[in-house]
Amino acid sequence: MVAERSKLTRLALAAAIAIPVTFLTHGASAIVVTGDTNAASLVSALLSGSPGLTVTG
Amino acid sequence: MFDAGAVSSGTYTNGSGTYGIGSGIVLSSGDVRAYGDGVNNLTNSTTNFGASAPALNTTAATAPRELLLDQITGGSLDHFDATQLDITFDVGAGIDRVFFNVVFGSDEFDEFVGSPFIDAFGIFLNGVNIALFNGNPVNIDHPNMAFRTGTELDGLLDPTGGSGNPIMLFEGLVTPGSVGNTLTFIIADSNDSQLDSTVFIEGFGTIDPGGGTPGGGFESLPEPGSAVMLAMGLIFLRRLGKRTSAKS
Repeated sequence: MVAERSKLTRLALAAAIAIPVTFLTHGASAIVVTGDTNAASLVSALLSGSPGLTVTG
Repeated sequence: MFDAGAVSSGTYTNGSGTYGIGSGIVLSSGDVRAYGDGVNNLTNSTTNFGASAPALNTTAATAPRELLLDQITGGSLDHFDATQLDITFDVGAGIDRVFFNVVFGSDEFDEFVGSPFIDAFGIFLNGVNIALFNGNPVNIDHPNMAFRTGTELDGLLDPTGGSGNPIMLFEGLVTPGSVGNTLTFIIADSNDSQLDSTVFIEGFGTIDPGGGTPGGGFESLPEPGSAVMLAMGLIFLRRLGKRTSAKS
């Protein structure tokens, strides 16, 4: 099932999409996000370092 | 397996302690770079899931992903812009559970609560979704979704009702000494690719990372063979249902 949003909502969404992502990215973040698509890097950042757990893949 | 848009995954540090969650990874149905902390500029934020152009692209979820996401959103919706991270791990002889801290938020809240646009997140441990808070899966229809400031996200699944940090603690059982345990994190848009959802995750390990509110129980786990049979059966039923729907 694919329902559609109202016309007004779609217009508002279109306007939002047109705004560059750079506008949404905050300059002085305390949560600092770095894009990363390397699985090993993500897993490394996710692990707490607690004992008894070994990631194998 | 790791499968995501070109900009829908990343790592983060949290120097000021926004939401109270420690450093970890961030997964999204949009562009994770838009979810540093700061002012919430838009209540309907949609960012680019893929490359820099086109400005917005729509990536339909594959059949295996639909199988997972249907368990979180009720079974009848299509999903888009899914980001999925799979991990395989072994545990030592004395280890019987693993933990995660999670902050989930969405720009679908609150305009599309109760609609088909219920973006969702799941953690599948050996094929079972352990991301249930008070018995309900993590999507924007969850009764604990609430407005919280801090990032571009409009609403968060806040287990404290606004009285504390909006961190959910999830834990899952594993067999002590077991090898080849599977773990899948998945987040996606529901019904269309507009208005994004994002999740911050930290502290994957064998000890409670602290700071999170327990989700209320943890799941017992089927044997891997049982999970595969269940998955095949659900795929068959989903396809049968769609064919029936298309004919009617």
